[in-house]
Amino acid sequence: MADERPPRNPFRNEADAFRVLMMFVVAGAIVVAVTLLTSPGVGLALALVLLAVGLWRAVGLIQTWRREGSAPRGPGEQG
Amino acid sequence: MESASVAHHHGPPEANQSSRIDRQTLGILLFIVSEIMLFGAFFASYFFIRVVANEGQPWPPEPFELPVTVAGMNTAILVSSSFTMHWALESVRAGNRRGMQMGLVTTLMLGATFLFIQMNEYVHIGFSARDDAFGSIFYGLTGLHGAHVFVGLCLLSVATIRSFKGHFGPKAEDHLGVEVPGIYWHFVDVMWIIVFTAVYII
Repeated sequence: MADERPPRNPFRNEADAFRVLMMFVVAGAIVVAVTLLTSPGVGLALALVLLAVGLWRAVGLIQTWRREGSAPRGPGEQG
Repeated sequence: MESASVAHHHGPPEANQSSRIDRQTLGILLFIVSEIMLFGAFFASYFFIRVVANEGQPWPPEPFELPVTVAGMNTAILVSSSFTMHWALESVRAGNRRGMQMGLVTTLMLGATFLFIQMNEYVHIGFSARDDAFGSIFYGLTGLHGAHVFVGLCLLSVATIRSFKGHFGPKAEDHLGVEVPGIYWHFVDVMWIIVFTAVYII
């Protein structure tokens, strides 16, 4: 069954922005741990991979907003 | 019919919307994109100095040393401030005015502590923005972020004062003055995680 929830938009809702922040905290922690355990070069490579994945996801999200509109329950509209 | 509807219309005409993304989203999206470009320019300079101009020398170049532990503690403080910001928003959504006030005050104090520690770091770090390209880009990147924290603290101060004056309510349209600074504060936090990881760790 398809997920019919509206696309989440971290630019319109603090709770969604907080979720994005948590993703960055986790990604940052992984990069820090890998860098400290291996070398800065490996950490940099991992950071670039995570950045590429993040950008890919962001582009997909923006395309979804353009197709379906962003979450209707923005800060000015949610009940 | 048309003249009747025009006669009953008050205020300015509806703004034309040519984009399929709604105005609020487009506005904040353009703001965040401009911020990403601003930080991106500084990061491009940083990595150019580090990779191209440094020519395989150790990083940071001798005799520069960065206080990684202090910066790590500062990172924890700033991340904690996002949790308290989220607590403030959850409280106002639940109608818990006291929780919102405490959340905002705690966020404000943690943010001010972050800025104070960063200024203290500048005082004791042992080099200035005039010392080599490394000094310039270090102060440029961390200072740019510090300026964003300062702006966030100004926004939070206004929200905190308003919260003690009895403003804001559980309905979304009644607490926009907390929600928007909250989104901005999380963005500032995200940028710090990137700055900290790139400058202090990698």
